[in-house]
Amino acid sequence: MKLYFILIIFGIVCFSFNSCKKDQYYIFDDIPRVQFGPPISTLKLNEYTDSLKSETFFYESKDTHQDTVYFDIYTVGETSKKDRKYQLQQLQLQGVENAIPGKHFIAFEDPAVADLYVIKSDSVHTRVPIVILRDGELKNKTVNLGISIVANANFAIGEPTKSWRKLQFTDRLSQPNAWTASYSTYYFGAYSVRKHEFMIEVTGQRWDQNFIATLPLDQMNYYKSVLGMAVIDYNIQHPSAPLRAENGDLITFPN
Amino acid sequence: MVLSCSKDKSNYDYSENEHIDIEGIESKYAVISLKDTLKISPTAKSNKEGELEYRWGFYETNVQGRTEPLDTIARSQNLRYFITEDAKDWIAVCIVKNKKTGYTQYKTATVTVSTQFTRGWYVLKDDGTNSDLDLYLTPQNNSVNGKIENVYSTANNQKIAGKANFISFSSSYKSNILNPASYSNTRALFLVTEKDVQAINVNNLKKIRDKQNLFLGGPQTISGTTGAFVGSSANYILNNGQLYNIYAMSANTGQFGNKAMIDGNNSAYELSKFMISSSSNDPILFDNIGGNFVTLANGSGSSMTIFSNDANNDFSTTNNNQKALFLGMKSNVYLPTPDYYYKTVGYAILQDKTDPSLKSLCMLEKNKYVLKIKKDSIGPSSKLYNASLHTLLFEDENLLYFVNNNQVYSKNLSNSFEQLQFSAPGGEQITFIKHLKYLESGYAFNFFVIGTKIGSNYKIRMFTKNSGNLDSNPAQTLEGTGTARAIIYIAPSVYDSTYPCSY
Repeated sequence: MKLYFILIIFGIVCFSFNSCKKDQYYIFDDIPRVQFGPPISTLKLNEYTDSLKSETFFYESKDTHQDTVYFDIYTVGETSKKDRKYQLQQLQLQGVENAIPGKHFIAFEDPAVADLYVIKSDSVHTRVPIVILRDGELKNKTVNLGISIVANANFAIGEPTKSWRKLQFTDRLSQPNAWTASYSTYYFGAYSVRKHEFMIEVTGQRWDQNFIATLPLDQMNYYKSVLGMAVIDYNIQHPSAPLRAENGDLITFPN
Repeated sequence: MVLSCSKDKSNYDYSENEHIDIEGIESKYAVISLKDTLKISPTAKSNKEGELEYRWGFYETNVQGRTEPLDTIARSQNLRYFITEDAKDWIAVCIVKNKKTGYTQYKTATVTVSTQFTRGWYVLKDDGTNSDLDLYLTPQNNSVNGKIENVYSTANNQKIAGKANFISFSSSYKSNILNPASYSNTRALFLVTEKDVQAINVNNLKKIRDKQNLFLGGPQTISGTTGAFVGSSANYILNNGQLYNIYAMSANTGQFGNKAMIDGNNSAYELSKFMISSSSNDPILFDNIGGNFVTLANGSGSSMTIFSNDANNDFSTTNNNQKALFLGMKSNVYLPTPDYYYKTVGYAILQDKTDPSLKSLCMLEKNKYVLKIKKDSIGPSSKLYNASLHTLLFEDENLLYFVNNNQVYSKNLSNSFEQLQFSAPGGEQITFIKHLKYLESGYAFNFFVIGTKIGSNYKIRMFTKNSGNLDSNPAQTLEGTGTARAIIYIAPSVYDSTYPCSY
């Protein structure tokens, strides 16, 4: 019995000594780094953000020959009184068609854009412009652009998982990222380009990533009903050619 | 083994548990916002020694769409709290703590907050072109004592376009008037005219939405058959005979969705203005084009459901070649195990579209999505045959009331006996009839209401009844300008479930 209590007291004493260790303060003494992150507006809500963005020229006028997509980049470490350039390179992505510099986008080292990749003095953040080009073949295909940070004299690479971004772009309708599997199940059914076109025709809305991702629930149900009704009316008006997807399936919307 | 051998040195206390008795707090208080101070002076006593400390909290009931915080409103024994809260039921809680022992006891009271707008009879009326509301105040009991004429236009600086049709109430309608960032339950009156449908805030009668922004998809023209009513988990609007809904159990902004289809072919339909509906059940509606009894299952979905037939139906629920002259609710009773649903009984008066001389009185019994229909032909000799306005005594005597030639008759639904109940005095024209009853203690009533028009004025007589027959003189009569078309009694304790939605 005595031995049992002695053991316990000894244990408590050991634990107490250990807990009395002085707290270690961590002071940043690393080299400056740079990494991608979410837009400033959502920084406090979610540190992480989707590494993939999609863009299409589909909605733009014929006069539009190029567009700019922005990512967000942040420095790690102290600010500087001088502007600091950071460096990007194209990352070849496996299993997809990669964008070709000069044809599908303006290369990062091209003098037209090279000076844009700068963290301004006393700043820890900037938007990264990616200039994409409306090549004629984008009418029939989607290309992919991998972007990664390259270490240079000003910055090393930050967290490896935040060192890259991916951009898909095309000049035709494509399935927005927000059109997920549950989106198909509960609201708009299986994706097809024809269905997507039909939704735009009927509602006059863009049905792009931003529109779908920010659509409130009651409006989602409203459009589901409007579109379901429109398909029925279309098929009644075209009894020999009901609305079909590219693969031949009849287009429907869940009830 | 070592542990189990330790000596039992437990120190059990067999003395009496502490309890604190809190006296001097009523179970209910009624106050008027921005006018009254809630005064409660409780005494508390503990059976243990120690100083008692008091804390008062205040929180709201029937909250949806946001959290309900407990606000501490006082730390004194006696509460003196000036009421600024919105009109509805709140809970005041007195928390008493023994500082020495830490033991705490609490007691709650329901605080019914009113504004001058939140209790009284609302009369929807028009001048032939535009509509407005008159409010008859009932500060002490169900007797009218005070009147605010044209209260809608006073609050909103304009009248509602169109002749008046219908008035209904919803406590589950969502708006962001309390907090712009959050849509939550709002006590709202729905005012329906032939040109507009508006949701207005009962607390101050300010318009929340009208035809310009009541619908998703943009402004709508209001025309044809119009209406607004509550169903199970849903708010509904009728416009031009089409049904629009808000599924109230889901996040929404108080805007009505796309019109519901009647079937998978999006066939044309035109609902009659009559509804049999309540907060505990899906509505029974009638499509005058297809001759279909329909509902919207669970208050949601893009398409309505046509009721299935009971095996012994005298009329089919679909394609029955009828037009609805009236639908009304008689009762709505919850069936316990093994059924677990509300059985709704109502009546319909239908007219054959091929031979309009054929009219029938049909008893409807809704069992989920099966509608039992039992038909009685209405002969031309019956006063009911040429009746123009109808209403049923909800839950009470088995009588249908109707108007024929400016006289109110009752028809016994058990033996078909018809009896004259009221003749409009010379120069008066009956504009509506309605049975309304309300159970709140101190304000309860059970009235049969008859509205009449005399020139450019109205009279609304409220009769008590005896064995279903109207007493010879009305219990009270409301008089105002314009033509009264509908009436509803509103109080802080009125909720979705208080009245059936029916003519």
